[in-house]
Amino acid sequence: MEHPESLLRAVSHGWRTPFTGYAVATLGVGLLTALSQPLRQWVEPTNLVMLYLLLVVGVALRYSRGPAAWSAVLGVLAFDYFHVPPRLSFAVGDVQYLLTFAVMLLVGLVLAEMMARLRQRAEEAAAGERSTSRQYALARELAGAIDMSQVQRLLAAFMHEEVGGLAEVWWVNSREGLHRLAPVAGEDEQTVLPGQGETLIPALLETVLREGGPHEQDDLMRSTHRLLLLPLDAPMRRRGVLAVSAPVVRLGRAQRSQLGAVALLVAIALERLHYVKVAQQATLDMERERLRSTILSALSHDIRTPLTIMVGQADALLDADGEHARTLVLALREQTMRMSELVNNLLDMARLQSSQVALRRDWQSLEEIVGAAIAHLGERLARHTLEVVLPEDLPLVEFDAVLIERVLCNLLENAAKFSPEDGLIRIVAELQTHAVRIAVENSGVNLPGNAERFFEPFVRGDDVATVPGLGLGLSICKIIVEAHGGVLSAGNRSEGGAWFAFTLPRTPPPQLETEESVTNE
Amino acid sequence: MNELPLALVLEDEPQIRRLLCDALQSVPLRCVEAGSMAQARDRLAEACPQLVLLDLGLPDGDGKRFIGELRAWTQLPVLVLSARSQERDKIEALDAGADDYLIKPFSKGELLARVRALLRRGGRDEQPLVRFGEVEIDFARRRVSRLGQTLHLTPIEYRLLCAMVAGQGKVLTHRQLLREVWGPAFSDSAHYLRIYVGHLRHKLEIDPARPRHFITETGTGYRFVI
Repeated sequence: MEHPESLLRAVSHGWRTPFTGYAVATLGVGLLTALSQPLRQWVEPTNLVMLYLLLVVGVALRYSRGPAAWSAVLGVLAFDYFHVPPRLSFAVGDVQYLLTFAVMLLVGLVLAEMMARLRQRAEEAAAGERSTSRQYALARELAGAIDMSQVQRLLAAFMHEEVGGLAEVWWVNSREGLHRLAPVAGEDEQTVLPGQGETLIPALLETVLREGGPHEQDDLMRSTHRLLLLPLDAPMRRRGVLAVSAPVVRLGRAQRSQLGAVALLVAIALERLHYVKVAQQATLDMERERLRSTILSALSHDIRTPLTIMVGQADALLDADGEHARTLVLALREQTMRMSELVNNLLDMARLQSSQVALRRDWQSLEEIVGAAIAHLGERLARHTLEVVLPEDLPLVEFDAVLIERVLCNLLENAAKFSPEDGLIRIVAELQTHAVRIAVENSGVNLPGNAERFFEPFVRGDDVATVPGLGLGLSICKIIVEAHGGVLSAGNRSEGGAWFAFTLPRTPPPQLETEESVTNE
Repeated sequence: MNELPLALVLEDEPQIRRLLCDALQSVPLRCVEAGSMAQARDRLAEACPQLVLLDLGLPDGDGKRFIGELRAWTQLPVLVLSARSQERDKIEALDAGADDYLIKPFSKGELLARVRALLRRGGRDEQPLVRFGEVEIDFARRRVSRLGQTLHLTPIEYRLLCAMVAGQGKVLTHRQLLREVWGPAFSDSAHYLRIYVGHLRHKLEIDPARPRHFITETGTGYRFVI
């Protein structure tokens, strides 16, 4: 059984291990021989053989079989030369020593082999344990992955560590095409497949996808690498192909079977993510369906009522004249403007709901947007006292100006609708550590019940049914604020009246190139 | 009646053309009507209008193309009336050369105010002295004063002020102002504009949070009104 760890060492440290091992073996034999000289008076030479064998065991435990065998041979020679009479000569006085030599050499070599094998097993077991625990870690992380790119990132890191190779996932998307999982940003050049022959690779992928067996061949881009294509078989269906390019020397049988297991993990992760997406889409669709029916029922009321009034007023106009006609015309105009506002709200709502809200974020001045919102409402705020409180050091904040102006307009309009004439409306901005909070407060009555429910479409306070306007404004505000990463909240003022506030996240504004302060004189 | 100045109304909906012409009578302006760009080109060959009002959605194409054609030969004021409320449409029309933009539905008062502002623009020569609110600008001496006190403006603030005053009544897009004051390299750095318009408001407006002269056209640009 080969293993990356031992192989890696063999490859990268090939020159060092034998050299050190042989040196240590030689030194050991020399040292042992020197130390055993004084023992000669008391110890039979044959018993000294045991010491040499012990040395072989030691060398075998520490180094590979080569140095151990070397120490066995060297031991026999040293024993012959220094201990067997006649001493300091390779000549052998007594023939029985030849048997000693033979046995000593044989035992030494066998010991060397056994010890080396033992050590290798232990190393392999340790390495196997490490790679198993890495695989467990991968399984755990894949189970927690929340998007496809994360799967790709985890896989790439694992492959790099485990076989020193590149890996990528080709998955079958909803339109039944094979697509490469988006690689991590900045790693584009590290792809496995491009350049492998433009037509060859898609065909290979298709084959693996269709037939379900693994495929292996030389990597056409890297001569020392092999290219492996493994089908990603998830419980429900085949989800794609895992492509791995790794150095030949690191692809043992164990690695190949491990890659099979990893392919299964990735397949399961992809399938899980796929179903998560399906489930989210289903929830979204239900949510949308619910909203649609709410809108339809509210629309039939909120649009038909003003239309009925308008038809009635137009009919009445036919017979009216003088002051009465003028009153009717003004009322008709008012109704029309209201309808127009309603249509605007509905269009906005449709736009905001139809897809992800596309924000046109830019660095904006809150002072400017507050001013624009007030100017936009114009006459509708004329009857109220307006107070704007902005901190002196208000920085630029990044947001979509048009949408946030919309939020401010809606909040100001609500404030104007639900506070008494000559009431006070305050716009207060406040700098927080990570956000800017903008509140619109008004005097008057408190909000009835739970304020949060006003943010749902078509909900209005029960006792305000006489105030015109579809309950769309606040839900539009909520969608806009949340798309910005902020929070819309509401509450009552202790002195009576309500407040509505939203936050916008603060990030460091861009640096301006400074201009020397010069007067124009 | 023949001495009345002319307005070309390019709009494919006859009812709205009718309404516009009725409203414009009180300016007073006479109307030349066109329902398509092709018709409008014919009318332009016959008459010489002082003002063009147009819708963007026309049967024979996008009104922005017509603005581009006009701008190739005349600086005649152009007011866009459109039901498209997306900022991108506005900016494109303004960058194509339109002077102002009204979103349908609009009130008669709003329409007439915009039309009058545009006509005033056309009839005026460059003046060396401009007064608004508490402020007086003496272009000849490069001096800005408020309530008789000379104000200190930085060179950029002054250039921005000049650009805005020169385009008074018109909507000036962010891009137009940035290119003119900072140079083409800055045409995407709208935050400079926000900061410097803020400076001008704090120095020249009575209530900078509710400006009366340096008006924000949210998402589009600015308008300077006297």
